[in-house]
Amino acid sequence: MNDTVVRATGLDFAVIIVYFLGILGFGAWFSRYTKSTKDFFFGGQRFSWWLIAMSCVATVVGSYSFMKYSAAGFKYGLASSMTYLNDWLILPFFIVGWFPIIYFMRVTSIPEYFEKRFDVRTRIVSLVLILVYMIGYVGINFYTLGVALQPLLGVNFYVIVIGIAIISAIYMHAGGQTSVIMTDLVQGFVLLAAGFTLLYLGVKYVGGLDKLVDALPFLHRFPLAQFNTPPKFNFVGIFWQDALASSVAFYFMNQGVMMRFMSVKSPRDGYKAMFFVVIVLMPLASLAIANSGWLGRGMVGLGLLPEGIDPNQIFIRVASLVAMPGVFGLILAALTAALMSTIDTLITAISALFVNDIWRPFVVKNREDKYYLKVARITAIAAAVIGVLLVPIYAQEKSIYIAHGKFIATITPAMIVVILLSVFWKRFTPTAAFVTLVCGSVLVGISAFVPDIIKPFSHGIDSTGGFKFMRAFFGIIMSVGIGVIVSFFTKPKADAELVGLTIDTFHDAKRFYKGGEPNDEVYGKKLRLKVGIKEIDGIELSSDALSKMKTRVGDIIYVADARWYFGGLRSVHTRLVGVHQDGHDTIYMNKETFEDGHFRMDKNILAEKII
Amino acid sequence: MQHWYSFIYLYLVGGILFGLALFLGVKKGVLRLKLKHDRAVFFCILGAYVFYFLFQGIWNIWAISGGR
Repeated sequence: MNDTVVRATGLDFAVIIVYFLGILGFGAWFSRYTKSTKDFFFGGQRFSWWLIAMSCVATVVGSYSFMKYSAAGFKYGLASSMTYLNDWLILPFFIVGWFPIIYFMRVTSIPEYFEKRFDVRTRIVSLVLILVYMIGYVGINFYTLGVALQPLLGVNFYVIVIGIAIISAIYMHAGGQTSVIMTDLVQGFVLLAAGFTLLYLGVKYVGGLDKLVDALPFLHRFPLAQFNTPPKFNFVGIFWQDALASSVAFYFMNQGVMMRFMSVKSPRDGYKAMFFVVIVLMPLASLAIANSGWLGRGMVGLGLLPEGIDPNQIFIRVASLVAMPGVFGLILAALTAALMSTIDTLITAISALFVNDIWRPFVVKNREDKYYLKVARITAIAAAVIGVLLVPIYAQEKSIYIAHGKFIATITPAMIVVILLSVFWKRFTPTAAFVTLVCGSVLVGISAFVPDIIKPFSHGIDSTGGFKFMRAFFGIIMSVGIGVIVSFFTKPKADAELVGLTIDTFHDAKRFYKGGEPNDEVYGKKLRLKVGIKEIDGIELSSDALSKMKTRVGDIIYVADARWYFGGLRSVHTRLVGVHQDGHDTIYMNKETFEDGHFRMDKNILAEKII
Repeated sequence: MQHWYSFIYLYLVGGILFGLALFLGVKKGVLRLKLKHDRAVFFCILGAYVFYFLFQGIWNIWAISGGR
């Protein structure tokens, strides 16, 4: 039996340093694709679904995920995968509601949507809540990574945090969302590779999969936790808190994730990205993240680890046992990747909120885009600095760290109810939204001090632990109740003011996006074409191409470098303005469009109708 | 039977919420089922439910049978 935790060797340090430098160079290289705030915040809305999906998974997995889910896996078994396997529940809410509406209405932030849908006071309240949540979350991610890596690297805690903050800030400052997506793509692969390597080595270490399964206790083999026991890990609590509240919060309320999906080239690609995340990547991520907990439990059963081992240390203990030098470095790099890919998303999101919801509308209005791009870049660095400054506060005063967690739990139920009712129920009034946000959060806050008020909603869960997991259910029910009752006693907005903002007026959102009648009943082929330059205000295609693509003059066309592995990096959205007679396989565009798309004359172009 | 409570709750209560959102999407015309691509989206959403239902259902049976 080996009780010692190994430290990183010289080879591990070499792997980590090469990884850091690689990410830094890779991220900074993409600055050439960032020329406007649209590029900085939304990557120019040009990316293919697979880039968005893969980078999204890296964002889902935070620096604490390996530790947290391994600990849950160790204590409760395979049911720890529940958290990652229940996103299917929110699929229709996202795909037929929230995502296409914000995409077509070109909404840049959740507070902006709230102002359009309700009023300025709801925008301000939501902005404050989201900013507090996100800035605090940046600090938490830095803090948890420092805690995890410090004993392994044997390097000063603050050196690790500051080093990672500098690397993240440099590439984000340079390339914004494009750099974030590209680096997160790499980090997503590193995360999964490290997780699966650990699984492979662990299974080999214990003597095979059969031995591992045999060593797991009976209740550790189920996909779902037991219905209402134990109080700290039961199915019904996780269902309401995680499957519903946290999943909606992640995909709908997290500005960073919203921006990621807004970076996709079309809503159809956004749907594909979401399907791929939910059906393929989340099961893989759950396996990669939690397996060391399952391995650890099996090792205890086989006498390879002591019975009383600390579950919070299980990831490190298992990794120490099974990974050889170099591989251990890869696992440490994965931990760092998990942090950097979450941090960069959060920081870009904070920058977007600051520029689009504070600076541009209230402080310095009507300046040229380059000015706001500069502000965005400075804000990204400032957000990283603030995140680092929060670390010693969290380190010294654990109650602040815990308070931030409680704050998120307090505001989430009311916020997600307001988001969902906003989109799906046009009768939901501005007053009801404001009252729901404030009173719903206050009621959940009160329930933290008077947990007995949750008892009627507890599904028979024991009161030990203060019904912590049922707080989300209580908050959702209360918020829905407040929202519906207040809506019936207050005046809704006129239909004309809600155009495109609810699912009732979904097709108006499409009209808004296109600036004309949508042409989306039939989609034709994507065509590979040669480029010609002509001074026109858009693109021209041949009549044959129009017929094959089922498109017509006035449609929005996505034009990209035909090499798939660019994932849309070299592309542009433009408008079909005319038909030429010069040859079936030629697309004409002006020089500016050609340069915006980073195209090359010797390479083919892929043209696709968007709407 | 107690080992099925969580599964039933998840796919019944979760299924009702899931179905409600999907129903509203079709009723309000966000997904127009007469169109091929909207129909594909509809069946993909439904497919996700069926996929997880079968996946976790089979897994549950495996666990009840003692992991064999």
